[in-house]
Amino acid sequence: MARKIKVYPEIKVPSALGQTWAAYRQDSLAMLGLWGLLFLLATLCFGPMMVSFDPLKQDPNALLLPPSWTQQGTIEYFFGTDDLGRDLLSRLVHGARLTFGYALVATLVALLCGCLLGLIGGMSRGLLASTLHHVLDPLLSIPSLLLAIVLVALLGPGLPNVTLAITLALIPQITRATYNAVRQELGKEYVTAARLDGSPPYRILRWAVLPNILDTLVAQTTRALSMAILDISTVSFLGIGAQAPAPEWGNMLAGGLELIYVASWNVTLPGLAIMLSVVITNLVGDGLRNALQKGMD
Amino acid sequence: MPLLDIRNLTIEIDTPQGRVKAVDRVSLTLNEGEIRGLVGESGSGKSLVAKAILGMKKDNWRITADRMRMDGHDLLSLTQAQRRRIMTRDIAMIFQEPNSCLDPSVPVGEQLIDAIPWRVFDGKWWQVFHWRKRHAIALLHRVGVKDHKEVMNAYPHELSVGVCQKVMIAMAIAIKPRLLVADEPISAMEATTQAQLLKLLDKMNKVGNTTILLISSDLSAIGNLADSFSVMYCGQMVETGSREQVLTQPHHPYTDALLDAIPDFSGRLAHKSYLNPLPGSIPPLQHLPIGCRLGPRCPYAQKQCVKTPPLLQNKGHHYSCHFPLNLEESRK
Amino acid sequence: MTPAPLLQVHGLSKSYSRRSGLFRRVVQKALDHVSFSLEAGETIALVGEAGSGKSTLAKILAGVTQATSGEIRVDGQVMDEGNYQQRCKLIRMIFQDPNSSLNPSLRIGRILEAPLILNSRLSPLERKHKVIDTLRMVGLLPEHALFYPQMISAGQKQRVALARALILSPRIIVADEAFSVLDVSMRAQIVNLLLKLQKNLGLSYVIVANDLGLVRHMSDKVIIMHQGKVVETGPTEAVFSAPQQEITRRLIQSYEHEYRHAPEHRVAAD
Repeated sequence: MARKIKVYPEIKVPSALGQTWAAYRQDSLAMLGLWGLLFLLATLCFGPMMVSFDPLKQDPNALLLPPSWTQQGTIEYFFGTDDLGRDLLSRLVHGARLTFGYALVATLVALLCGCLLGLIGGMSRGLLASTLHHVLDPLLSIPSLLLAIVLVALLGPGLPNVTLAITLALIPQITRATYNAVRQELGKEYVTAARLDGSPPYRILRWAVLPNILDTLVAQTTRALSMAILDISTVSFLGIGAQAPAPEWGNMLAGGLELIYVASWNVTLPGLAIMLSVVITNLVGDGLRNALQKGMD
Repeated sequence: MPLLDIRNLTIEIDTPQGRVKAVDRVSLTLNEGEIRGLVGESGSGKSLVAKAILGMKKDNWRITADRMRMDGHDLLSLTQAQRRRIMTRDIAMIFQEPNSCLDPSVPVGEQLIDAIPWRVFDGKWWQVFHWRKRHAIALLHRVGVKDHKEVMNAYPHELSVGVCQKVMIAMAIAIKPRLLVADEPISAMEATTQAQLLKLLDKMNKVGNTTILLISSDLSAIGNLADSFSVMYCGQMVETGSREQVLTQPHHPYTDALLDAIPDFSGRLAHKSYLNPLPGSIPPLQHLPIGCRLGPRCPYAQKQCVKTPPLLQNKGHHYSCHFPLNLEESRK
Repeated sequence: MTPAPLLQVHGLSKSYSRRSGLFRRVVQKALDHVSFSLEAGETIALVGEAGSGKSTLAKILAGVTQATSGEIRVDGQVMDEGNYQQRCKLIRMIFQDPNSSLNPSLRIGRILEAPLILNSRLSPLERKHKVIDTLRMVGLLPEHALFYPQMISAGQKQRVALARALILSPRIIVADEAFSVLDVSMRAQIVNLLLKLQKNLGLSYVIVANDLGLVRHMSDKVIIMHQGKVVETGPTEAVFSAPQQEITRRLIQSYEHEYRHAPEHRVAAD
């Protein structure tokens, strides 16, 4: 009875994910960012095992050695050394864990908490919704740096405390963005249609809301990540984050500052590392968001 | 000499899928004092033609034409500044969504006053004071807004769509244009408002001798207003002719289908009988069929239709179809 | 078949309370004691100006919003508010804009399958067949199940929306201005489809429409509404050929305005 003739046998409809990936691949800048991000993550995971020096080991014979591509440089100390004879390359690679790694942790924790609050708040109504929406609003009025300083004053200096402060500063922003996106999505007709189908709330959330607010979430995540990187290195630069010998990038920047005329690579290289990681994060985020939107239509 | 004379207007748009011809060799000639209905469904390119006339060009468009003259000026060879001068002086446009065309943060009255140019002032010098405000009120009365005080002080979101459209028409009348381009001015309105607006356009044409290019997707709704019609399908002009010619003896199957598709109020059709629409759907611009673009949907299509039909003419009635309908009747 | 009419609406009211000023609450009546009934296989049209409550009535029928008071009975059963499982097997809705009523991130097959998963005990294979059958019923191909909504045209989207409404085999379909955004030829196709389905399946329709020509063609009964109240009601032909109320007369007059082309003198084309 039902004829099984395919009229258009060549039609193959790629999935939404496939379309997003196809759109992403066409954006060469975003692909550059993705490779950069992979490189950064690889450095984070395996870098410390691959560099030849302990980041804290001091070599009195190799003080302020310039990078290898200059006349006086040696290939042994590829990026040169600082004023205590520590290898800059090893320090930068180990620092990726401290700066980028902690920023990643802060962002992921903030994303989890913020999304949860935003989603529950957005899906519920009345008092519960506005409570969840506004409970962390006071934190919005405090700049993240100030919050970090206050927390350090209370709990003492150290990277974990700073990370906690930054996480706290990020949560309300993510909550807010998620809440608004969910609310906007709930007003759409296809959500009403799903409700009329008899969908329970979790089903509406899973199939109608979440896939369509993905671009907001991605945008928020990358913004949060680049903010966290900058904040962690700023706080460490100010001397209240990671403490002295730790090879945190902001810390290294602060340490190299006195030597800027003598050994400029001590400032430029950590600075470059911070800048590149922020740029890479934003490239990936922008590319992903555009690709998601293109995958939609 | 015609007021607006367009010959073989082609608009190409660069899209990620390549360049598409959204409007393909469209010719349009408007005489002074005429109301021309430009009819077509979505994707027919009728709005693009209007935008090309006004020079509202986007960066990824390429507009070419053999001729595009407005009142003797060649629109394509003018500089931006010259063209703008002609636009402000001679052409006005109204849109489908009037609420989004008015500045939401400025009261409507102020916007209307701003739209009145000095050149229409014709009083004595001592009448200059508050002349614009008085003129604005007079304009509102002319478009049928009675409580001018309330409307002048209101912000666009406080007014209904119909009143907003009337304000837009008042702004259009203010510059005393020679050509009014109305892009689907009534399609978002209630039936009551539609009738009022059409009456207004008719009055504007009769009293001010304004030429009107009325764009619509519903042929019968403006059937008795326009003097002549141009019907577009998928970027091509399929039929042009006077009201009588197009409405009573359409030569192109598409026009015929448009007239037939929707039951009218007279109840001539048997209750709940099936209508007579074209099969299939409007092809997207990237996948236009070759030859006659209606071909795959046309009930009268034959082998020959894979070749693009030329624009033929019969007593001023232009049509582009290999197998025109009603030809015998009109030749009688 | 019970002798009682298929759909019975009794004393339906809806009021919104809006805060005006600090303490004052203004109660606005969107719908004021509306009652009507509808037989199986019939079409009833709701007509009125903007703000007349016709859309609100349609939404209450479909369960999108809830009535302040009144009762809806389908086939003798009272519709409980919020009980979508019960309602969606009897009354389904088609929305105005097909571009926004289909979830852009799901394939059409999944969109159509969702109501079956939630409201039936069919096995996955049976569901698939049901989806394909329904797609064919509305004039689409089984391949369309793999497409995403944004890949097809607006007319086809409205067919998918209709398929979603039909897939649970309801008795009544509520169409809230489901034709006005479509192009003329697409609109006629959808109208034909609705008429055909009514003939074959004995569906009842509640349509909200502005186009009186279409209303006259499609509906058996008509309700003229004004400011939340029913002004005039009766068989379509009777109401439109001999309107009793001023509001009805005005509606007809403004639809039949002098610029609308009346094709009496048109030579029959084919």
